[in-house]
Amino acid sequence: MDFAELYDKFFSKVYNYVRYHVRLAAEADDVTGKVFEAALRGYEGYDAAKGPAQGWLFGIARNAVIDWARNRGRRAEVSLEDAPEPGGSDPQLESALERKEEKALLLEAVAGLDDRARDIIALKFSSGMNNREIAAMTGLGESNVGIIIFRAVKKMQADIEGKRKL
Amino acid sequence: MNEVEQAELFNKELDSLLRDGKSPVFSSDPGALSLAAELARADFSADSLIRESLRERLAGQPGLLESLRALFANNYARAALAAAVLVIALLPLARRHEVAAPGPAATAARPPQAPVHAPALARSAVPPLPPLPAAPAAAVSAGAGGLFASIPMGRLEGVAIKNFPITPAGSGLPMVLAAGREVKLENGSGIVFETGGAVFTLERKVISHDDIFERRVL
Repeated sequence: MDFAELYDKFFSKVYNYVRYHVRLAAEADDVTGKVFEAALRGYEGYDAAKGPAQGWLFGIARNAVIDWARNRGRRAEVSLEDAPEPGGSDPQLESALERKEEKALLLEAVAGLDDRARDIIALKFSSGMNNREIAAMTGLGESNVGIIIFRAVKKMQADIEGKRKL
Repeated sequence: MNEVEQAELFNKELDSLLRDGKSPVFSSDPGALSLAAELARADFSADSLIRESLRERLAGQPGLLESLRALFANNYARAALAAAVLVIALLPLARRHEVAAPGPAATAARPPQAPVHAPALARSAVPPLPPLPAAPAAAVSAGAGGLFASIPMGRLEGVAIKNFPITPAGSGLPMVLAAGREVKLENGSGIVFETGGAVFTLERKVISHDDIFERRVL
């Protein structure tokens, strides 16, 4: 697999992983760009015999997200993009807005998790790695990863249901 | 059913959902699994504004190996690189030869150096050589066509200097060498010049460091 194939195959997954951590789209673009730049620099040294490309790539993505979180400081994250948009009478537009709101709800629910649970949920639903691979990457036990996923999904479910009732 | 068992069952159903894309008909926790299915379907990458531009930018940045491969595909660059490697490899040999046989013999054996033109260097794409160690003045004759040539000694010797090339301020008259005689001095010799306005001595003697440097103890 050459780098262009790797990019095409994993761009969405890496972007989604980053987006679960970095809620602003522009910042997620920035971090994703850094992930693939670092991946390109290290691609010649990547040994497929040592493991699948996704594990290697998501390892880079995790480090990029950690760096981003470290550098973020305490500045407020406010973006017009995240503000609710006014409703329209166009059914297609309304449907698009609903989908956008659903996505925003999901991101909000993920953001409500603690750092470790958020990282595991992001890996589980973006990378395509199973619990064993996630456990190997994060240094946790496989059953522990399973429990964290279960608890995180239940917490998100409660948060989203609470918001939908409002 | 305790939490660990619930988690195990949920993860089995979740893995099945992620693998096959279908929720099981009977689920232990339909609400949680439905949310998990939403998470699995969610794709935020449509929000990305850099997908294509980043791809193009990265495609324009070949890796080190690709860069070298592209370089070696060019015959001109290959020849220039080979020439540069050859020059670098032979340079220590040439230097050693120069150090081993100094003096006139070495000068005779050395081929005349052609003048170096900067545009020629730029065209050759071969990195310029570091400067050679300075040769003794006598080793490079004016006739050899080197970069620097010493003035032939014959022009300095044997002809008496009659007109001193410095004129005293205001007089407008050249200083005239009236007489020059060699005298013995302490630790050497000297020549006494008598000019139209003054008498002075040029000394030639062996000196030590202490004659020109002040010695201090730190």
